[in-house]
Amino acid sequence: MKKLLKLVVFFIAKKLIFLAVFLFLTHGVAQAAEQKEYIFILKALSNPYWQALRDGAVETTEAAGIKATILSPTNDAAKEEHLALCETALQKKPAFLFIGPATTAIGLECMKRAQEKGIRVADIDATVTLAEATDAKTDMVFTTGADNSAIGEKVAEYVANHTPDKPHLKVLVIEGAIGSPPGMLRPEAFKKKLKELKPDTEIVNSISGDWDRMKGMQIATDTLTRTPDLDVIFAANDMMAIGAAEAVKLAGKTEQVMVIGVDGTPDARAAILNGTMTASLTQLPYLIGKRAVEMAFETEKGTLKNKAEYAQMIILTKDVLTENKEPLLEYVR
Amino acid sequence: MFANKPLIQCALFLVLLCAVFSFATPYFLSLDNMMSILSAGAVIGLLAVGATFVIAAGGIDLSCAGVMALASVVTAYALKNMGVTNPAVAFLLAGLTGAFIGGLTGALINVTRAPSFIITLGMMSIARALALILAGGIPIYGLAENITALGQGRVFGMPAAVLFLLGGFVLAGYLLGFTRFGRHILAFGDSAMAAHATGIRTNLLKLKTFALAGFFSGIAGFVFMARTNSGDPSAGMGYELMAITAVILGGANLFGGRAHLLGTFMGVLCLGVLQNGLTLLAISTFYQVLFVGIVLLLSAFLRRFSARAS
Amino acid sequence: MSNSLTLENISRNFGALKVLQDVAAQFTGGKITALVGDNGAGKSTLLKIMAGALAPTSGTIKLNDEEIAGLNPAHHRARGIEMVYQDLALAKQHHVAANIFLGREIACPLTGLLKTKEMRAQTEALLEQTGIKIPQLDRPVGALSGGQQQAIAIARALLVPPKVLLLDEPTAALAAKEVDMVLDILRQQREKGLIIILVSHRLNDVLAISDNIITLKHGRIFNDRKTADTNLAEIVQDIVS
Repeated sequence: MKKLLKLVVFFIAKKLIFLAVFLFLTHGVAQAAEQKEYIFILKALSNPYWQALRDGAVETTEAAGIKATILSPTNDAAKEEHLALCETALQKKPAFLFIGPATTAIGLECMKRAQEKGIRVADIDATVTLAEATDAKTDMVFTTGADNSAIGEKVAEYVANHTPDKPHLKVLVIEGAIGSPPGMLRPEAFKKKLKELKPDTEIVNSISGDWDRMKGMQIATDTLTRTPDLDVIFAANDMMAIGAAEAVKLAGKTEQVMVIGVDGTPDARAAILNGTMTASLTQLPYLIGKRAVEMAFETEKGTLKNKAEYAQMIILTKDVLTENKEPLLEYVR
Repeated sequence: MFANKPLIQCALFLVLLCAVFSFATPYFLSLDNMMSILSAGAVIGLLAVGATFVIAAGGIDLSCAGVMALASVVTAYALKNMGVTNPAVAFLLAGLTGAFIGGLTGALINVTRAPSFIITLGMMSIARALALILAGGIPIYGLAENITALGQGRVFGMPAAVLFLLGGFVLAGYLLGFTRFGRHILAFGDSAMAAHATGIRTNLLKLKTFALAGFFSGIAGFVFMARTNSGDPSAGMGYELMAITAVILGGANLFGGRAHLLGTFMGVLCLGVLQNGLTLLAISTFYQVLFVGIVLLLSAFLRRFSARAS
Repeated sequence: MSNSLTLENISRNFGALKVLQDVAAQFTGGKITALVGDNGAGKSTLLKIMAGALAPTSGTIKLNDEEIAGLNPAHHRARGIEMVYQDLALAKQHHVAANIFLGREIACPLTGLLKTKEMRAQTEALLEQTGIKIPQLDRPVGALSGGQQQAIAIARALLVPPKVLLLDEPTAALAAKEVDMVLDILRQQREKGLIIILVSHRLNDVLAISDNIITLKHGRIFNDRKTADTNLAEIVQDIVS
């Protein structure tokens, strides 16, 4: 009972601190100089994907003489914190607000509030579709980013293309955290597409690895116990893929099992180069950030043509990384 | 004996789980799979060792997974960027990083007289933030063979990670169950007043308890690093609750005074067996989460009924 | 030569509140002294100061002319001053021997291993010697009766033969039969020459066992009577007047 009370008190204290920071931010802004500003609300800065996207966005913005401000919640599960960040950002009256919303609902809610203040908002994480925005009577200037379903499909195509002589594939799918859109959508689309391309495919298990390295390793180990002749492991991010790749290496089956992740993080690239991992799909987050800012410029000039533009993706393999022929490779950071 | 009753319950529970899975899947009951359960449980197990000490003393440690991540990053950083190559030095570095943060936690609890819940909640964020800052937000990947061998290799046919796990439990079991230090921790968790009145230096005791728990979290970080071949600042999100769950399954009193490392070990095995078995059966994650909840509630019911019976 | 405990000008403030003012007294071995008084008279505070659980604001404590400095129970215990607290300060999930040896565990100096068997044997001997009967030594003390718990708390204070035994309300929570058991233990220890000082509300028990009765009022000593020369009415009069 006492502990519960303490918990509640602590929770309230946390809210108060948050409010204090909020007030400080909004207050301090009123006196700031009238420099044109773009604000970017990201999902989590502790993630290399968002770090690269940030770099692309900030460099492009600052090159045009505009101030770039980055806001980010403490972790990507903090959904309501995301909305509070949006409100804080709107107080600063930026020329443009870019948001990678935690959920569709939060994206729409943020756009509604921005609309009331006459501030332009764009989605940079392909979360809100144009149709959804229209349905909710909100004005989304444009949406860009990596389409999670497209990611799953592209990996499925890669797998199908590289296993022409094996009609009966045994595949393990490691999903992301339960309830997170990329964690669920990528595996769903992957399984659906692979079944289309290779109807005899057997999904031996599709299970959540919680975005966690150790869990990815554990799931791969256990699955190899049950299915020693496993052919493919697809993990919804590189973190879990690297864990799975270590498990495959331990079982001495690196040659037999294809391990593919998503994001193209630096450690995944290292694992691909040393042969532990087969491939990683990268959405080129640096380019997404760069392109989002360019689309904002086009909007301001009135020349924006396509309001929904999804990221280009490349699949990084040892060959792609070593041959250095892929022109987009310069955007892999 | 009173103290052993929860232990027997936990053992029965474990046997029951194993029996169910043995019948349900032919892959479960093999030496290889048992070793795989044990190595997969090494990290959670070492965290649970630390948590056992803190819970025995009537506290709670929410920072253990954060400390583990920090230790893994500090050690990986030293290995990659500071020319450390000796595995023993790396091991000590991980342990000492944990012990330092743990000692700091204990000192802060003594100075502020705040509940450990609050202080360790703060330290959880601080440790993780330090890890993120040191690693620049990106996991440090790719360690030398002599390090990864300690997480992935085998010694006398036993996975090295399992040896760390067993070694940790034996050392901790000795300290908590058979020494003056352990007796004082349990007595303090039972009644802080009794400990103070009988002349036990309670502030020093708390400091030592948290430093020791931190040490084991640091070792968990070392094993994590060696197993996954990386120092990862976002390692083990949510592991602190898994560790606490294992301790409670093992029959400890959440409010202190009663805890047993053999119980914690079986608690870790219960969780590991459950995860392994359900994965072998290819049962969806939704149900895995459900089963962990059910197992915990079931153990609470069991304990309640046996308490009534006696 | 018998032991003596001397208090010189003991005062204790809690903030602006003066709980004890210039208390001076001398206690000698082989006698039981009772401290009585109304709630808030300062009895428990005085007892805790003698036990080292509280520090006096000013004044000194001397045991056989040696001044006892230091403000923790460990220091006082080491010099032979033991206290039995009102809430007993027992670790209730631990068995009897663990409580008796709390803070004084016997361990092998080389390996650090506790000598559980030896501690248990010594516990049995101690209980035998003090006439305390507890059938199930392996049960947690929380599962024992109030009288048994009180007896264990007293036995713990007697493990290393002390010079001074302080007791806070030793009979308050006990049934009549259990009270007799506790009083018998105290009489037995008086024979051994201990200085025994107890605080109690139960004046009948006080009259039954003590040699002297000191009444405290508003933090000062109001009266000091020999039990043999007084009666219940006089003591009540001292307390309420």
